Amino acid sequence: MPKRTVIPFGPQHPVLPEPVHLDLVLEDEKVVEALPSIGYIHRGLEQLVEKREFPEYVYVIERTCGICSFIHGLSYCQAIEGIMNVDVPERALYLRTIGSEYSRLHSHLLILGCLADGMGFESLFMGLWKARERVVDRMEKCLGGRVIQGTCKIGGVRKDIDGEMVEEMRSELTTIEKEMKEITDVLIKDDSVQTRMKGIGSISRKDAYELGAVGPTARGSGVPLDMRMRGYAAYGKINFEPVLESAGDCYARTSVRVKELFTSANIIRQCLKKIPDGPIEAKVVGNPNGEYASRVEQPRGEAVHYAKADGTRFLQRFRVRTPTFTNIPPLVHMLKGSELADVPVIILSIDPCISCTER
Amino acid sequence: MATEEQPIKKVEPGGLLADVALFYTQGYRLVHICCTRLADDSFELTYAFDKEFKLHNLRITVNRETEIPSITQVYGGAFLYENEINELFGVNIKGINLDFGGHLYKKKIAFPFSMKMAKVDATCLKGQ
Repeated sequence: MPKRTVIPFGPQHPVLPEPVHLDLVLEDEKVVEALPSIGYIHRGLEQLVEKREFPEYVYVIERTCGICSFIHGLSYCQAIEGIMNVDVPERALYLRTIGSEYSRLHSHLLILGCLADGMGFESLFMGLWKARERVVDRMEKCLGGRVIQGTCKIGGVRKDIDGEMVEEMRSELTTIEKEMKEITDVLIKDDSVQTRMKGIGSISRKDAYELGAVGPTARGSGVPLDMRMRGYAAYGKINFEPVLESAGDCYARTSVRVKELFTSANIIRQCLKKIPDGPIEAKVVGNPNGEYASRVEQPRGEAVHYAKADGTRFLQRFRVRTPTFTNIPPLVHMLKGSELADVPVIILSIDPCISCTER
Repeated sequence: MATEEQPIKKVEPGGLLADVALFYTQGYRLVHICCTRLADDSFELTYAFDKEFKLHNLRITVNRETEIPSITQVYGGAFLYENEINELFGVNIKGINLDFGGHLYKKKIAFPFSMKMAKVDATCLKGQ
């Protein structure tokens, strides 16, 4: 039997934007076992519902993550609205959909850049983040912030867009799509990128489903799991299909993200065309009493925001199950049998967000 | 907003595994396990499963002494949920396929979610 070596990987590592630790058990250069370890930045945000009244907790939940903050806020509001049976105005639902898709563009471009950087492709990283910069600038203009927006509130949204802004967004989307096309063509078609990702970190459709993979990690293995198909916010009125790949390797997961960039741009364009006039928030009176689990599609996959209330201003329990939390068991599965040099690319291919996971 | 139906079936801890196995054989995936501390210091564990975007829940109510079987023999990926519940709430889950033995999270005090936040703050300050 070959000699086994244990290599500690993380929590500080050049390719890891956030702290996660893996004990990699190696036989020569091959990973035979990977033991994950998290918990370096657990903040206990869920328990803060004891100190924050339910309408103001939306500011806390947005700070769970610096990338999908908007969608965390949206999902929390949906959970409370689900308990209180709040009828959110249609215009607000469209604005929430637009915000979600800008978040997805921003998040996908960010991780694709990190992935390029992890492979040592610095110029590609710069190009992808240049495209992302235009997206976050737009988020600042139409949602109120680049990272934390504070746009969603229980019953609707705080910030509206006017006709002039809609025209600006339409014309800018064309520029964003053009830039994304140019730079993602390099990512997808480059030989060295393909060599680093094709056939690497594979997971079958059955294993991905049973181990709980969500988002591009699941769809890269052909699992048609996209919470947007449930039709929350305005997604029920938008025409789109979830992007699926079947190979289940790093390249497939990356291809899903690249194609989703254009799906998101298309969804925003449809929203801008269909958005009705009207109010952007409904008046919410009383306190929630009951329980509800809101499920949304974040850039990394399905997130669950569960709220249980007892009729007071403070929730009895609030829990977030983030996509990375449930993508860790599939990641461990992918790592087994891989080469040590491929570990960074495999980890980045699931787009890990440890801040979300540690909430 | 059209809210989604989310049925909850209450089961005894002893019958949990059989019900979980039934969901597995019917092709459901595990969505999450959520633990809630109740007013009488008992705990409510909700196991959520999804198939074709329909959410179904199983619920057990236990106290800290109750031994709960791990569902990782059915859903192998459940080990993170179970370790988290064990460490944050002190719920006694036995037979986890990857048991971190209380070291998944780096905590200042044991079972911080099993008590009110004011008590957590007081305990932490006392230790300084």
